[in-house]
Amino acid sequence: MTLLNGILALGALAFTVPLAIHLLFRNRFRVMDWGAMHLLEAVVRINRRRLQLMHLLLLILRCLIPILLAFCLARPVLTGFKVLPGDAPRTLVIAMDDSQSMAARDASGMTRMEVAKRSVEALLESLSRRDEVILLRSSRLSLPVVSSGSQETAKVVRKMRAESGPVDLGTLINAAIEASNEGVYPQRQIIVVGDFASDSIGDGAFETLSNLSETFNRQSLPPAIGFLNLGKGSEQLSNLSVDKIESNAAAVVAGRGGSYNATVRNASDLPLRDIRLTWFLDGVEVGQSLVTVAARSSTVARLTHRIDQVGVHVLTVSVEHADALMEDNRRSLAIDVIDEINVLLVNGDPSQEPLEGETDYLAIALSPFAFGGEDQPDAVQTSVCLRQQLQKRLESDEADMVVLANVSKLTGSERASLSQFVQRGGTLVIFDGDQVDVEGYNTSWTSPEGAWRLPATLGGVIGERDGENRLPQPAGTHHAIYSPWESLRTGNEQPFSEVDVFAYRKLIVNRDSGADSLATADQSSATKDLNQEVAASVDQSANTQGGAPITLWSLGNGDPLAVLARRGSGKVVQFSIPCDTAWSSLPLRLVFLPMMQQLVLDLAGNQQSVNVNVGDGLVVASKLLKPGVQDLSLVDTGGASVGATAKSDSETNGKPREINESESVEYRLQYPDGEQESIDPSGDLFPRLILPVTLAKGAYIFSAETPLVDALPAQTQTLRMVSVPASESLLRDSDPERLAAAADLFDATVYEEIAALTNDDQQRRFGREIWRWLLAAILLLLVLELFVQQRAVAKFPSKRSSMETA
Amino acid sequence: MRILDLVKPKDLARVNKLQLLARQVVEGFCSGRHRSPHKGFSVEFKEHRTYVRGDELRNIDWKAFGKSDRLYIREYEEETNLRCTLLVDRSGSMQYAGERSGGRTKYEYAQQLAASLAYLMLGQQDGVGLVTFDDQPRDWLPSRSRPSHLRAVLQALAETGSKRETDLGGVFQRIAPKLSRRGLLVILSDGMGDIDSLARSLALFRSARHEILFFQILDPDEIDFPFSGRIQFRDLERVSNEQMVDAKAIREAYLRRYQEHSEQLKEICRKQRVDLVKMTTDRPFADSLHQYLSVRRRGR
Repeated sequence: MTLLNGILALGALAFTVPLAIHLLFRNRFRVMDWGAMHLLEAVVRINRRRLQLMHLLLLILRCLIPILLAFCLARPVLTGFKVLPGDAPRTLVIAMDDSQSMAARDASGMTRMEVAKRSVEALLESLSRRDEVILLRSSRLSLPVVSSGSQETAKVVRKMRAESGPVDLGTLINAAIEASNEGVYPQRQIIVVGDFASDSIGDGAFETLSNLSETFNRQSLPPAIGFLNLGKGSEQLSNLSVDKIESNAAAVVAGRGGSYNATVRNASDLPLRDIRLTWFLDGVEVGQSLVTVAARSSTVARLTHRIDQVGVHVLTVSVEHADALMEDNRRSLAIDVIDEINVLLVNGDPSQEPLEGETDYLAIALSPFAFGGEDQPDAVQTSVCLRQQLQKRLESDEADMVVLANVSKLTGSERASLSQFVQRGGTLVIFDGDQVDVEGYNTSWTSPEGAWRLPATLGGVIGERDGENRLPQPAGTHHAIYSPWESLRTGNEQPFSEVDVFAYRKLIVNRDSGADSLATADQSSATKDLNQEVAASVDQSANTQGGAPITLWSLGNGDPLAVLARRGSGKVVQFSIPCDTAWSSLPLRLVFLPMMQQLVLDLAGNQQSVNVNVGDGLVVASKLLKPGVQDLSLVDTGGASVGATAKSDSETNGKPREINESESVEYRLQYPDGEQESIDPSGDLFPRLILPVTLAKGAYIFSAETPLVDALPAQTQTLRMVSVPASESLLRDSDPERLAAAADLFDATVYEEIAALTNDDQQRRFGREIWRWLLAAILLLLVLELFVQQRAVAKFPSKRSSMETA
Repeated sequence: MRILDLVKPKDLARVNKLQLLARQVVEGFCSGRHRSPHKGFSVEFKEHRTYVRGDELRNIDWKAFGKSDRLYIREYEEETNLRCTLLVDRSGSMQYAGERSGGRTKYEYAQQLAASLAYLMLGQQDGVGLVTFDDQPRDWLPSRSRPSHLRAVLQALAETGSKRETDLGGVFQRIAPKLSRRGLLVILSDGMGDIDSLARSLALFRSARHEILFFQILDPDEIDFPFSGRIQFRDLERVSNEQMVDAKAIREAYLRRYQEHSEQLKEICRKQRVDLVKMTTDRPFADSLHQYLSVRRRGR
């Protein structure tokens, strides 16, 4: 045991004061002649022993009080509790949760992030100059670990903002342990600061922690881990949030009305009535309504609006309500408004009779207004050609999608053109039929840019193609993962139930990526750098799961009817039935039209993902920023202002300006906070602008500035909207037992205040201060002394106090 | 020694108005205001009694004989004076005087009370005797009803108190045989001492059919023990006996002991039908006496 203020321990000598008083008064008495000694004698005889003991006890108590008081002021420390060398430098890893839920305010109006900042700053102040600090932010775990001093760390902490996505505790602790391994000093400590929301310790996170703890506990000197939980009492916070904005169509076509849904959720226990909800498009108000949301439920507000201009627009929904988390009262959605989709239908079995041609039903389904002679523009513009015209049309037309309908054997050049079309981002849809050359389709589709195979290998035809007595096979359901067809279920849970399939081709799905040994030059030469990984992951985040095919629709027996896979930059869809009525009744059913519309809109219009979650990377093909390519450049980072692009001259001519490869184009990226930086495209064949990770929500604007054109610089830009997942609006405490169990895995302690954490830290490093215990003991002794005194002496009328001696 | 040397005129005047009346009949020599159980030749006829052999013939009521042809003896009720004996404790414990009593010792208080009672008794032609005692009887004046007897009583009362122990039981047992004729015994003492012995003595008095009046004279300090601090209590009855105590510490125990003693005294008095009158020296004795006698007169 040591004393922090040892000199004050000398104050213990003050115990002599009550002792001296006792001895002094022991010799001071008065003499009184007394008559009723008859009574007094018996009393004294009986109580003498007890009184002596009481007086001795009183004397001890009175001597102990100054001794303990002096000892308390001397701040004794029990070094027996010390487990670490106190003054040795250490590595402190602070893992901070900067997710949006940390912006929740408590009753005093202070956000959790502010509390976290203060706590961390207090912790940093207690460090010595030799200590090493590593700050980890949950939004930046993939960034390199940087160690710094406490003052530098405090500066960074002060600038932190809570605007990232959900944090997984397992990932966070894993990163913290790895960071601590890079620390300079053997003494390491990890402090995890956050609100420990319920979704941060899900089953997956817990499993990660369990696995992590096994290796962690095998370390000879594992770092000490502490959890600072600032999310206590989340259940009492009321929160209204805009959880989701979505377009009801797979793609939004310029000039066509579209409807959008906004989901508003009320997480409080009281219903919220007449909440003003406002819609903004590119910062301009386009709609307003009052919504009422019942307690602990959500409601959907709808907007129908037409966007005339092609490009990326920002649709924002804002609700006016003061709650614990104001940051989620506004949400934005980037909408990629596309022009008409050009679909080239290759008719493999033409006919002069109406609806007898192979593509007749499909053409009507894709362009119903044109078929009906109405003025309203169709989202899809179809053109039909024969196989012989395909190559020429591919070279001359700007087809977004090519549909091969029962097309027989293709020539090598046709196959090469189609292969290149897909490699460059086009969509190829293949409908089966009796004329299809199976062998030709199953071979590799080669082009100078690469080679690929169909998502499924064509097999034999199953069922009766002709005949009156043929029996239909029941069509099954579509795959739930393919969301564009989810809208088909509106009003009919089994939209394909009326479709009869009499014959179909057996499709054997290729489970590989589909890329042949003749991989793209880009891919074969690609280095496995971070940017490409991110690009790949972003590509995979599209509806298709990378190169692996997914079955969109299948028969009741499980055989696939439609298979989709990504090939190169494009997509390939295979149907095992024709698009006429030869093998099935599909074209005759109501579901055919919306099914094909949704498919085409999805495949043609969703080639680029304009909305991502915070933390994900961003990839923008640099070709999108070439002058002349129509991509909006409306800028609305805050929703209040609208900026217009400086359109290039070439764009006004309607054709992309040919840019000489030697021309230097400067690409720039503007972050949501307004900061800008240059960004270089990566990739030779398909240059892309890649941001590996997004750290904050908001609009990220990519722009390209080309050299002077007619004395004016040409600039184009596009934006990507980064949002925080709605789960961050769920202010829900983690289960205390679960959190404690997670802490137990690492022998960690859960704190709710930084003071408790620093106390424990001090104890581990220096020992346990016991002055509080001593203070409590003094108070106890004072009470005991009063009690003993009252017990030892009887109550005495105050009017007789004049008789008291001394 | 005159009465006014012991009693203030004001107190004396107040006492003078009182009449100490025996609740029960006592014997006496003078015709006073008290009925005697002896049937004699006084003026008031009491009853006829059948003649038995040995009765004097002169007491036969011949008129009754003439009417009934039976011999009856005529009996009268005799009025007699009260024979009162004052038993005054002059032991060491009676020498205590607290601050609240204005320096007046319990013995001085007893002196004044005894003088007043003697004056009162003699004034109504009752006989008054006096016994002062500590651990044994000291002065003994037999009961007389002559007015000049007051002087002798006062003379004996004027003796200073002793520093000897109290032994109420022992003293009373010695006195009892000498008080052959029944009368009123007035004890003036603080009652400190062996309760069992006292009980036996009172029983002895009661067996001689004495009426007993016990004035327990206490200092208020003895009742509430208002002391604090370290005090060496020196016994007024035994020189070598001293007790060094923290007065505040034992106060509760003392009060319990006092209460216990008081209850015991009250109990034996109740059993022996002794009137116990507690008087404190901070209160004028005339008030206490007046209050008691008022109650007693109503009881008669």
